[in-house]
Amino acid sequence: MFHSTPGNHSWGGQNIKVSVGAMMLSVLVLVFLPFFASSYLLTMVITSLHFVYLAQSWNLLFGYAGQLALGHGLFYGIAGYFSTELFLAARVTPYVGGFIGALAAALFAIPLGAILFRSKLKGLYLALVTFAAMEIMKALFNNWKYVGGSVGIYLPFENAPEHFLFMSRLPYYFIALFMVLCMIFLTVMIQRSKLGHRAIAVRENEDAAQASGIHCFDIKLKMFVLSAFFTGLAGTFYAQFMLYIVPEIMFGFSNVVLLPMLGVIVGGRGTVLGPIIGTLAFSILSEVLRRVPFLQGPQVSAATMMLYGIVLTIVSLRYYGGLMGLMEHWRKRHSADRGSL
Amino acid sequence: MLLKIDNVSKKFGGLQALRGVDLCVEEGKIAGLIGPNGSGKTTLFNLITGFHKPDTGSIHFQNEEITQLSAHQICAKGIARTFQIAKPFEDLSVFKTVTIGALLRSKTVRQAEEKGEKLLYDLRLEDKREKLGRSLTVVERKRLELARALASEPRLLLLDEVIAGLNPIEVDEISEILRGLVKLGITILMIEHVMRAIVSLTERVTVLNTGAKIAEGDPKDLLQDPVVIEAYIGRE
Amino acid sequence: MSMISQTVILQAIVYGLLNGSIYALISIGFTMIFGVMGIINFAYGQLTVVAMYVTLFLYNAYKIDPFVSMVFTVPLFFLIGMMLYKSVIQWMLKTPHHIQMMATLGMMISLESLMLFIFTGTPRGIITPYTTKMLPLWGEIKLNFPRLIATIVSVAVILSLFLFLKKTTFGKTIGATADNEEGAMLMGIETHAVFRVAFGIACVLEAIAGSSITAFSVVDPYTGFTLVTKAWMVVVLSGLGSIPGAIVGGLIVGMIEALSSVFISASLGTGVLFLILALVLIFKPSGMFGTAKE
Repeated sequence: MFHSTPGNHSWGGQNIKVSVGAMMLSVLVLVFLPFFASSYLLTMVITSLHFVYLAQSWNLLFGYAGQLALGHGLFYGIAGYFSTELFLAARVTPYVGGFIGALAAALFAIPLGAILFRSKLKGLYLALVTFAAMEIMKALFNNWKYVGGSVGIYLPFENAPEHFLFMSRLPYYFIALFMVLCMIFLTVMIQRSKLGHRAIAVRENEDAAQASGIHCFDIKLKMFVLSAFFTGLAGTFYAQFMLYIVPEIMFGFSNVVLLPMLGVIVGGRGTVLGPIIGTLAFSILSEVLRRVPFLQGPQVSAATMMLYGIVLTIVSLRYYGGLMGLMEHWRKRHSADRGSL
Repeated sequence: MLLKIDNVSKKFGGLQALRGVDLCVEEGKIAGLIGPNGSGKTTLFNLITGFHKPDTGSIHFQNEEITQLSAHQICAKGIARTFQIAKPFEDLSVFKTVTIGALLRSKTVRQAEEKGEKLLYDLRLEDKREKLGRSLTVVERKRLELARALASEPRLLLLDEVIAGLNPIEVDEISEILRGLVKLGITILMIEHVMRAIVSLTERVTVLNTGAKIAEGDPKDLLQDPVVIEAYIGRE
Repeated sequence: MSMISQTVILQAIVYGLLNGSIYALISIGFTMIFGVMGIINFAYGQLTVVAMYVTLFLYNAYKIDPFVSMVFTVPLFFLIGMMLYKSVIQWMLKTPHHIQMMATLGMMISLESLMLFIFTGTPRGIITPYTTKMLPLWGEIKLNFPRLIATIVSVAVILSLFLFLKKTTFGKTIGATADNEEGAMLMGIETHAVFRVAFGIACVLEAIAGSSITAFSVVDPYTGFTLVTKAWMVVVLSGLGSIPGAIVGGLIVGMIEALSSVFISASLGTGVLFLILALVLIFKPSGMFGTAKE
């Protein structure tokens, strides 16, 4: 079920039993452990899941359609602000407001994507323009008094489940987990669909894809809008969880794009598990480094980032498959004697 | 006439790649397009398949004008092509590649996969099924190009140098496949440098030189034609 | 309705030109790396930050004036540049641009994080006897003394670089290799050696910029990213690979920034610059002076 990009492997019978078993175990852990976890651990896990979700959304565009967009904070921020405003000004419940916000982000993505993909912008330049677009939006929101400008907006700290506000962290955990699971499901569906197949063709070679009857512009735009929509939902989650939104963070590269991007590239783009593994590895690495005696708090994140930066350099130069690709590689080596190829 | 090209010209920057070329391809035949390097053959293919638009002239396919259509639309109309320098999907397997090619005429991915399987078998690629695009030899890439083009179930197949680089056994294999395709109702227009293949496969050949058509007709006759010979020798 | 006085505008223009000269310096290095060896270096600007911290250290420990410290930082960074080339950069020579971008982005992240790790995010600065000294220019317009010196140094360096590239043999070799790498190789020029030196020079420019900035501004690890963003705006406007373009572009960017602060706000000014960047990329990717090395 979880295909990785190289080839079309489905896991051998033996492996399926193991992976189903592992899945059930992790489901049990995921459901029951939070009740026993400390507040600190829970917050850390929620934040990790949030980044995992962002990585999965970003993966749709980069991993499957091969488009490098560095401005996803655009959609995160638009949706986050939209749902917050709807809530604070019109008492619209963020469960609905979140979807409206994400829809707004998706609608914004349509003309933006149309301009981007109509022009011959590729790779590097696409990345720059999307980054610029995000910075422009950041500047606009920073100067927009109605939404609090650079001071930001606070959400109330109260227990109002119908308004997506909880004083306990547990509900946020389950919602974040649910979002990640939905993205897993969505990614699998896309991977198996015509859209998914066409997207990877576009990613691999646009000319060949065109010659095979694939309308590259159309596919890129669709994946762009999908990615925008789901990233937008995360923006609302952030607002409801952190209770404070400000342009610097909502439209911030370091907050919305950097870690998810690293997670996707390191974990293995264009796979279902890659973004999850890659992003979780970062959190795990952080926690490990935190235990190192002489490292101070902020130094831990700096050290983790530093290592990830090095990994990004190595991966982009040497090995594009990331951790998932590495695992595939080992599996192939060990199954060489099965004589299937 | 399945394909009708009228007075087509194309300029790139300062270079006139094609000037006033006319060409007709009859249905159910294999036609050849030859000429020295740089004579505009691949450019003509690019114009037919919508990768570029001609500056003048028109192209009709099955009596429908396709001049201004984009590449993917032309593929949908029933024209498929291979590229001179093969463009494989590096990270995808042979099977995945052919499946993608078959998506155009399939309702579901499953259906496309079934068509892909059959195609791999027919083209004797099934043992390379899981090989990644990046690990294919040049010969295998060309075979895959052909498979991917056929996957879209074309009426007209444009082949850009599928024979070059093959050993005699492989040439015979491909020739057999191509003749088989014609029996199935597919028309072929092939660019080729290997004259032996041109003579044995095609019934009618068009010769280009520096962007213009200089001769047309039976390949055996044309290869004796002094004008044609001069074009090649003058260039080499 | 407030009237913005002519003085304020002129002051902003002067301020913009001063800043612009530093941007020009940085952008020349960035564009040189692309023009000569075809590498998009996102990690550019990080070495400027390193230079800043080195300058900080030299002043705090030995009371060496930031401009004087260039005597140390220039040769040091030349060597660092050459070492970086040999160890990492030369492997990026033939890779596609978006791969280069990711690889150098990774380097940028690592270097920035390293700085964060060692120095933390707290901005640091030095106070020299002349840090706040103002020189009157004309009427009410004043020049900040260290900024003025920085500009003079930048101009001097840019001029020397020009002379070097146009008049000296090695400089001309760099130009020739930049124009036609294959031709240069056929002529027996060792392209790697040329690239190594060119990269070293680009790093020297960073060192000079870094030491200069320390004289009048605070230092934090995030400055590198801001600088490379500015460099991008400049080269997109003026065309990647064009040194004269980098100079003019740097001044323009400096002025747009300064004038925006006066008429709108600083953050909107940044937004305006990004808007220009986006529009130019969409409609005229080769920039105003484009050399279209793509």
